[in-house]
Amino acid sequence: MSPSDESEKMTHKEILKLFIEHNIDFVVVGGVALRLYNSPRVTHDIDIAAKTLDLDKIIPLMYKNSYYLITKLKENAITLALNGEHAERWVERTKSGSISFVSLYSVPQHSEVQMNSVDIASQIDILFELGIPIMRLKENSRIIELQDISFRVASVDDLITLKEQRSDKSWTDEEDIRYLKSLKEI
Amino acid sequence: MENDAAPLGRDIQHSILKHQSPEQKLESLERESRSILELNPEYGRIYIIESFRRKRKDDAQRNS
Repeated sequence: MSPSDESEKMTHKEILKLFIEHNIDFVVVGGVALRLYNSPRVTHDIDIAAKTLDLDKIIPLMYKNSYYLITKLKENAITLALNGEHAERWVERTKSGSISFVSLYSVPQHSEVQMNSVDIASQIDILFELGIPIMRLKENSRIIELQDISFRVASVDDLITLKEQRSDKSWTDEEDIRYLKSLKEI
Repeated sequence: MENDAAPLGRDIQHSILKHQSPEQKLESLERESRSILELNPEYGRIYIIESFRRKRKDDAQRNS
């Protein structure tokens, strides 16, 4: 896939389909999960809870589809791991509980690229260390059926718990909590 | 008594979303996200920086 062609950017559905095809166990959380519960809030990334064990599958898959791991951010520049091996080493070294991938408008020549060359709406966050273990998220999850795939989305209760656990809640987190709680009152 | 107040934009959106298929909900989200970022690229820059900062803060707390 050419990352330079806007029309070829992967949709959320295509990303989820790719994970299913590669037997990666996951649960959708965050803003996309909220949208599936009819929240009008707009998010610019997709948050996917996955198992650390599946990192070996996820990183190569992302790179095969022209997504790059973010390793550092500055005001106007972003540092990326240019290949899967670098990405794996970075994750191992930092012991990060979550990783973010983005695609670019053109193939990067250096690890540091200008922010305006990043397609912000392409951001995929993979979360390994959440306050609720992935197996529990999965047990409590709801299955969403699309025309050709089905996948799991975290339950309303678990989404509330995940939001409430955040130590530095943003105003959108507070708003999301209010929204999710209102669903339970119906 | 019936409430004659005009529904707020978010309430209208919520009502529309309730009747959409999951496919339509995902598509509308992506469309809205792209529209916002196209109108305000600076917001996109702030969004990604903030998102990354929060993740690293969570890591720091977890590993401390």
